[in-house]
Amino acid sequence: MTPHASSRCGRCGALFGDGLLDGLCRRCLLLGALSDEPEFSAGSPLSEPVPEAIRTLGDYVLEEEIGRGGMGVVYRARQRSLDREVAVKVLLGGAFAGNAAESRFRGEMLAAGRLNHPGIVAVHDVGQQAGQWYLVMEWVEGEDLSTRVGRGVLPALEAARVGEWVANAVQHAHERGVLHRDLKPSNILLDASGRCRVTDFGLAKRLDVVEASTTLTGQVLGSPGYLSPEQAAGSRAGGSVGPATDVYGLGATLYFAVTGRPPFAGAGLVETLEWVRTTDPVAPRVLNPAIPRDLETIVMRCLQREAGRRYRSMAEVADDLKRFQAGEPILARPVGGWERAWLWARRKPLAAAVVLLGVLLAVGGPTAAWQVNRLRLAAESLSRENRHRLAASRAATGMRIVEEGAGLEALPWLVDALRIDLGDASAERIHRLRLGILASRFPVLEQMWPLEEPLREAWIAADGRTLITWHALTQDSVGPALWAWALDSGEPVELSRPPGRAGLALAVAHDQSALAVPESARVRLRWRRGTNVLAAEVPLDARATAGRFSTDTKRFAVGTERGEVIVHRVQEPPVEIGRWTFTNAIDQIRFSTDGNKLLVRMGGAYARVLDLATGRVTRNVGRKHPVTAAVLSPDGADVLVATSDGQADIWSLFRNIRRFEVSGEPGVTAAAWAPGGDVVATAVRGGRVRIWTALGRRMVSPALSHPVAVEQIHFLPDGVRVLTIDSARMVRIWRLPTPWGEVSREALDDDIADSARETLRSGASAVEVRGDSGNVAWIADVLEEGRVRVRTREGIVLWISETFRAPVRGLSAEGDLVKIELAGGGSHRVRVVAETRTLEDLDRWATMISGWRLGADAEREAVRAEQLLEAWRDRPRR
Amino acid sequence: MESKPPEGSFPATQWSVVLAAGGGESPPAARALDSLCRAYWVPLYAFVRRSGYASADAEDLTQQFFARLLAGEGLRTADPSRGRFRTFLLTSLQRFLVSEWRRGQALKRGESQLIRVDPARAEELIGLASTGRSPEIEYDRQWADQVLRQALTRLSEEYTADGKARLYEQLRGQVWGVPEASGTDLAAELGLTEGALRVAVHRLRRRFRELLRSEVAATVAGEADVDDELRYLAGLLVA
Repeated sequence: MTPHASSRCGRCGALFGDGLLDGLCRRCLLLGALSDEPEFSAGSPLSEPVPEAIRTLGDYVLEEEIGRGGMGVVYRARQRSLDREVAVKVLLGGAFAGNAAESRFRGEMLAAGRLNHPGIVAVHDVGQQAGQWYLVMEWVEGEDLSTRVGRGVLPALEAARVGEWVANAVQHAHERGVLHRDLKPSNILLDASGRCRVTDFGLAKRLDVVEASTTLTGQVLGSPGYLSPEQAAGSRAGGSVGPATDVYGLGATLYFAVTGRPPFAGAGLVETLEWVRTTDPVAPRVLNPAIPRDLETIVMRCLQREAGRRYRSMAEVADDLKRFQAGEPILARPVGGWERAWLWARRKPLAAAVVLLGVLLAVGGPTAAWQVNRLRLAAESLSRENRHRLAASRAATGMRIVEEGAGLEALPWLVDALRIDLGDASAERIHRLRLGILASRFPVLEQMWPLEEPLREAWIAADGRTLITWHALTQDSVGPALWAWALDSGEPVELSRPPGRAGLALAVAHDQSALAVPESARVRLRWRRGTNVLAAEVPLDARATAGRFSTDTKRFAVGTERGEVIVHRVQEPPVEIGRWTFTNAIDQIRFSTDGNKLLVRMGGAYARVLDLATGRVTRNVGRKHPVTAAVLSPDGADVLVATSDGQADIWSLFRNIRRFEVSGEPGVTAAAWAPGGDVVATAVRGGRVRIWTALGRRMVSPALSHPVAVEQIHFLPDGVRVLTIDSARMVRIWRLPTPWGEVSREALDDDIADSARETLRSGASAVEVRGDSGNVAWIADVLEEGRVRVRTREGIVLWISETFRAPVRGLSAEGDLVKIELAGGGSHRVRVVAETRTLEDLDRWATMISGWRLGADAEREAVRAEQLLEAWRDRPRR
Repeated sequence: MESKPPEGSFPATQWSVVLAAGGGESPPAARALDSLCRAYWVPLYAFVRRSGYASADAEDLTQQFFARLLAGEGLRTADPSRGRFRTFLLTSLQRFLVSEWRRGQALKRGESQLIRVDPARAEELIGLASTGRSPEIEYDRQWADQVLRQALTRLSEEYTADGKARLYEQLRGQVWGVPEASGTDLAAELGLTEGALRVAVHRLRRRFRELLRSEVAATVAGEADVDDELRYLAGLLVA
């Protein structure tokens, strides 16, 4: 039983993913060069030694690795109690998604284990040791079908015999409610006597419990070439996996047995899966003309993409294979002739129309040119009409999603509609306008630049136009650097390297006027600018572990390893204005904007807020879980706390009322509060930054996507731009979308345009919106249910807004903006409905959106794509 | 074929090459830099490509980047003490791309009101990006491949020079790939005893280790960083 190429390396467990490097495992190559890699050990020179951790698993002693597959490594082993030879399959990786999944897996394995058939490799036992699952199976001396075919394809009769044997074995399992789900050549063992045994029953079920995303990225699926279309489409496509799935698997296995290749072998996983879903395999006789037509018919009947068109049961397959071996007529009808043509035409109506035309041209000859012309026109209009219909249906789906309020998910649909209608000027224009309105709800990446050195901290300077980055002292650099960057251009405007021991600074004032340098039992506050003479000292009893100047540099707080927090007024000599003692070392201190409160993190896990005015201290704001990020609101009244359990909450201080949670995703790495206090931002491990209203759980923008985790978030003073720094030290400045954003109270009075009041009084229900040229570009009106609709002059609907919380009191137009005035409990809110800004092209989007879902229908399995558009799943679809 | 010192056949470090090219007009240094850049073209291209550029654009950008690098721009800031050559090249490339991006933004301002979408390009990108890797990770993976390829090529050349090309071909898959035959079968096929085969495998591994370490050493600040770099690159392949 020699192993064959599979998706994981049996030695090191690395995923082969996109193949090997010239047939070699990259990871084994790299690790083999480590200096502490032991010299090659004794034992068999070529089989890898059994890892020490699993040499003994329960009753079993693992002796030698004999094979590997996508799901595990197989060892020859000895069962001590019965002194018999067994095969032990140690499952690779794979934490189960909870106890339920684990017990389900165990149950399924045991059900498979109860199968008792001469054609099925018996499962003796399922066990687990230190989180490592293993299966104990009957020992079969022989080789697998894949290896056998590697020496040459099977003769037709031999293939039919193997197929019949397998079909009977799997039928036995089906009768007992067990599906195989992963029938393929490597799962069929041929023993010494030439009999076949099917192994790995139900193991593929395990794919379902592995998180869907890993399946999507191709990390789990072993042999996509043998997967059925319903498996390739994914369970969410409604493709139900059943006995017909195994019929397909057997067909694929037979295909391989007689042609030497799987039905589909794409360049990559995604491509292969796409082929499996959408195309038919090449007829086996094309690859091997020696295959009898009847056997081809049987194989192709198994490989029908629609499960209902395959054999209804394994018993039927076994029957037909038996007839074939006996030289009797088979029951399956060939898939061919008109049936195949009809199937093809149904799938490809455009191509079919063209072919039909071609046929007519050929048979009609020159005698009836007018007729041919008429037909050609008919075919063209048919194809155009079909195209339009398709595009219209895509666009309709997109617009329905918009109406449901999940607007951003409409993106792929509208882009697809555009793609189909490309070249048709009027249709194109509508699609582009819709996309323009949709796109105005995306954040725009305005600026980015890389930082060169490891970052300690960054902050926006008081002028609001400069970013200050403070870089760590590296062992080679001459000193710590303070860079000043112009936010508008991303260009460095100043570099300074404070001299000497300043490299060890504990804190740098935001205006860069002062440094705090720790010394053995004190912290020296030094004026960096000017004479550098002032050296105010803060005496300490213990080593300083954290320090911070208030934003105005009037206060300095220091924390020690003994858990003390001491706050001084910065002057010479410094005056102590507050002191607290906690039990854990202080590791982070932050001042509130007004300098009156301190957020202190200690012991790497707890966070408390100290009030300098009253001396009051909160309890640990993280409650039961370690705090991963915490930030005070600008007014110091609330704190946003993210904890290691994935929760991010806003707490009202000193009353300990939890206001609400703002994060549905685990692993918050950074958080920030907008200057107005009305919006917060949270970053999660995957590099997404989400922007929320601080008053309710509502996102005000699609996530800002980064290729790697974000470490810092800063709102710019205008509140609509956000600066992020990721772990690859790339700085980005994003402009948040404003159209649906709430306008602040201050801006309100100015913003309620006179024209809106005018519109209200005159009772007009629609406004004309003019583009830059002054022409009426489109018309906005209010629907009965209180939503606002935007149409072209021709009446084509471009956009329908969500239902507003308050009734619409008026509409007004300002250039190409529509403004909506809402009645809202004595005050007014203004929302801008549709603003078609200039949007350059996808390049611009590509940098701000990290992937998108593509599929023929909303339920279809998603194809993730880095760096392009993602249909947002911020809100689950209804 | 006992271990030959790798020194002498390859520049001591990539850094020394870069510094030579950045500091003066020495033709050998320029040639060395040129070959160095050829070696690392693929990882850099992969990064640009995965950053969202179409293949033609990515090719142009990668070429332009190298042209500037070879012209000495950016080399003045090269500093071996900063660490890895891999990181230096990537940072330089990122800076270059950002400056190109900015230039592009400036050109685009004030253009048409409708969005221009090139669907073919979108499709292409979707296909390209389906592995879901970040540009940085893709770059590092390609880098790992490049380093491995160089070491493997040299290993193969050495075996070939010693008239042991067939032995090399038979052993490499067995040691690092997917073994196709049992040890006993292989020994028989090669006409060796199992003991002799074991020794041959041992030598192959040892020599490859030396070659790979020297390749990696040339791209990091010092020998001490080789293990770290190897572990980092191997770590990319787990998930």
